[in-house]
Formats: sequence, structure tokens, C-alpha cells
Amino acid sequence: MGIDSIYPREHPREERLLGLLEGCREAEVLTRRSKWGDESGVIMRRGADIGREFFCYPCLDRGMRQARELIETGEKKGSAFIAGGVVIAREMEKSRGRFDRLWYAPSGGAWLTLVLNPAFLPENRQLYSLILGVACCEAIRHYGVEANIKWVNDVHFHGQKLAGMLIEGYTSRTLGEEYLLLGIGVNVNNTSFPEYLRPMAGSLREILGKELSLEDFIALLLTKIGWHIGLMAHFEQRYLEAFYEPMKPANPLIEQWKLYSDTPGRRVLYGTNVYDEPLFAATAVDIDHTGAIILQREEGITVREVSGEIIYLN
Amino acid sequence: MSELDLDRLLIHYRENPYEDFVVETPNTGWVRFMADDGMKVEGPKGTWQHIPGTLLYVLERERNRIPVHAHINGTISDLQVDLNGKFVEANTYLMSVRHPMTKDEVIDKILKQVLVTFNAPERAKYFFPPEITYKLEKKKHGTVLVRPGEEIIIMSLMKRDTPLIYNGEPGIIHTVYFQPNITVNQGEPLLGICPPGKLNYIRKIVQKIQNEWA
Repeated sequence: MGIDSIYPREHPREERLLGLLEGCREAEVLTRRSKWGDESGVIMRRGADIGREFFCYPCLDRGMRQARELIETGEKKGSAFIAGGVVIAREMEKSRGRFDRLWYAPSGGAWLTLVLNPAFLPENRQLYSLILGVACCEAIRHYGVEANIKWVNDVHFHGQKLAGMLIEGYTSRTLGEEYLLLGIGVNVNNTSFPEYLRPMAGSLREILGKELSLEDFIALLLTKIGWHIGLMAHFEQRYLEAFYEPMKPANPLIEQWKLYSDTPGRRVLYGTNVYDEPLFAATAVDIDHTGAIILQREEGITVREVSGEIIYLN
Repeated sequence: MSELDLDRLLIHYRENPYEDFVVETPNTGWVRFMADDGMKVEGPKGTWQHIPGTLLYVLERERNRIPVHAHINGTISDLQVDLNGKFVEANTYLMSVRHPMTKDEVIDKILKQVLVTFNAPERAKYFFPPEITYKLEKKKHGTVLVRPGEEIIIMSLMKRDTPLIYNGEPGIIHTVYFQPNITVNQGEPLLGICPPGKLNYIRKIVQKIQNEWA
């Protein structure tokens, strides 16, 4: 039995999203023109792979698992998965975050898994995490909610988490292709949370007091992700062109992340798995050009962490 | 895996129980030495190796000042004093740190010649998937078998978790070189894998060094 017969797809929704995405991209190019001029069209085209195909389902157990199934099924038929394909579920039953933490994904939220081939220079691949945070923050701010990013890419509004993201690398069993599975969850119209999540979770509907079109939000979010992926590719080209020059261009993604983040200057608790095994308290000073967080410990020692997570202490 | 001339190796390490670590510039810049030839230096310390080692030199480029600390304890040798205050290219040799090896380090160094090492593909943190952790906890040390195609370690970098697939010969996890909360540099060994038939040979090597190394 094929996976399509186990999980029936919502084809009309897929077609609607493709149309919305086209409109969002045109609007994005126009908005970005004031800063990027004619290059805005080039940048947007570089990220136009995002949302090339949609796989929409009323209910899934896990989006990541479904993406892997689609990859393997496609490859067994002799074709690699189209980079930029997006798996969307109206709700998910066994959704997980990092360290196998439960992720509550009822109907009303935007639950996406974006499948990409890693295309950035090896030293920039960790920046996909920052791209997700910046894109999601921009999509939420579009609706007038002044959300912030907590390192690495949690998006919150006054301490209430609105969105979480997780990236998994995956090498296909059939053709050995390398993929990135970008799991994104945004609380859009869902308003009920388990009791233990209630103090730290929020949704756009609660903040705005009205329901949003989920399709519009998803199309906008994917447009923003596409823009920042295109911008990163654009930056890498400029960086390589200036490789032997003394002055290198600054990474616009890092600048944008700093603009939206409220992490620098905060007292934080740091750990690889900070909720179960916090390691130390420190002051978050900044992030560097690789996205690593710079932490000032009480002993006066500065450390740079490329992985892990933080909890705000103030 | 060829058999080692262990007696010859032990004689070599007894006569010269040091390892020289080369210190080179990571990028271009102005060099200012903060250590002298013959000076004893310390490596990083602390629970997470978070206290930096002795400051060796400062590299400055476009007002970006990079302090470079010792990664291991030892004695500075062959300091290129004529480069002090000069602008140098990336990968310029500056000095060596002569590190006195302990018995465990000698065992490690010799074992790396006979074990198949599984190295870190990127500078990141690494941890075992739950099923490997469970096996390592439940089974006796040196009996956890890994086969090609198995997810052996998870590489974690900026909320990007990548399962690493083992693609070498089937073997037993003999040595775990990484710790879960400490960042591993690209290319450093994560695991030492031993083909099952060679386990006794490797145990004999360890036993012989334990007995004969003063």
C-alpha cells in the first residue's frame, strides 16, 4: 500500500498555495526594491525553489517521517525529491521537537516540513537555522506582532513561544542523496495548549484577537524563507568574488537576526539540552558571523557555543 | 589492519615521549607573541574545557584582535621570533608546543594506528542516538557492534541535527573520543572502531603498554 493511500492528500489546498505563493513573491520583490533595487528580483528568483511542490495532508503522525517516506518512494521510482518541496499537515499526532520533546500540533497551526538539498558553502550550512528564525519573525511581524528571536531561532512574543523550528540532516537510503528537513511549527489559529505549556506558549490568534488565513500565512512564511535563502546565495557569491580583497561584505542575515533578536544582553542559562541538563549561567553578549553565541561567564571567561540552547533568566 | 611492531614503537616512545603540536596562523594578520621559547604552557581547563589555555599570540586584522591560546600543555619550542610584529599569511608556522605524553596518551596514539577512526565532519557537538547509548550502557565495554548503514552518532550544530551513518567495515566501538557537551573540531576522531576478530589483539596491545610503560 502506497503512502498516498494511507495519508490522503488535499490537492485543492496544494493548488491554492501555489497561487498564493506566486502573489507573495511579487509583493516581496516590490517591498524589497527600496533597499535592494533591481537585485531584489534576482535574489527572490534564487530562493524560488521554496514551495515548488506541496504535499498537504489532513493529518500526519510526524512531518519529518512523511518527508523521508516521500523521498524514499520517489527515489525508488528513479527520481530524486524536488528540492523545495513542502509537506504540510492540518494536524500532527506524534510530533516531536529536539531530544524527543513532545511538540503539540493541533488543527489551526502551521505545521510544515520543508525539504532542501544543502546548497550553501559548507561553512554556512548552520545558517539555515538562523534563516528560519528570521523568516518566521518577519512573517509574524507582517501582521503587526512585534515578535523577537531567542537564539538560535525560537520566535516569541513577550516570552510566549509562537514558533519553533528543527532541522534534521538526512541521507536517503536509496540514492544516497543528502537532504535537509526543516521542520517548522507556528501557532497561528490554535489556542488550546496542554496545561504545562500554557504559561510559555501563545498564538497569533490570541494576540491579534482574530483568526488568520492559514494559507496566506504559510505562503508568506515560505516567501520569506525563499527570500533569505536567495539573499544568502547572493551574499555567498559576493563573498567569493571578494575572497582575495581585504574587505569582505557583511552577511545580511546576521545583521537581520540581530535586529529581531532580544538575546544579546540577556542573562541566560545554557546547555546542550538546557531543560533537562543546564550547564551554566552567563550573559549573552552577541552572535558571531557563524551564528555561534558568545557568552560571558561569571568567572570573566568568554565562551563561544556553536550548538545548544538557552533559557532567559531575566 | 596490519600487525604493529609494538616493541619497536615502545622503544621509540620511551626514547622520545613527546608529541610536537605545530602552531600556525588561522588567517592573515599582524602577529604579536605573548609566549617565549622554552616557556611552559597549559591547555584549556574546566568542566567543559571552557577556561582557555595559556595565551600564545595575538593575531590582529582590521582591528579584529584574535587571541590564540594553547590547546595542550607542554613547552614552547622553535618560536619564530623574527615574525613578532610582522604581517603574516594564513598557515604561517609560528612555534611548536612540545607535549610530554602520559601512558594513556601513548596507548591512545598506538591504538589510533590499529583502530578505524570515525572522524568529526564539522566543528560541532556530538552525541549518540538513544539506541546506541542504551547498548553502551547495557552491554559490556567493547561489545557494541556497528554495521555499515547504521546511524551511529548525531552531529548537532545550531539546531541542525544530522545523523551520521557508519559506512566502514562492521566493527566494535572500542574507544569513544568525544564527550556530549564539548565541541569537537572538524577532523578530530569521534570513535575508534575495531574489527571483531581483532579485539583480542588490541587488548594485548593495551596490556603490554600498561605493563611495560613506566
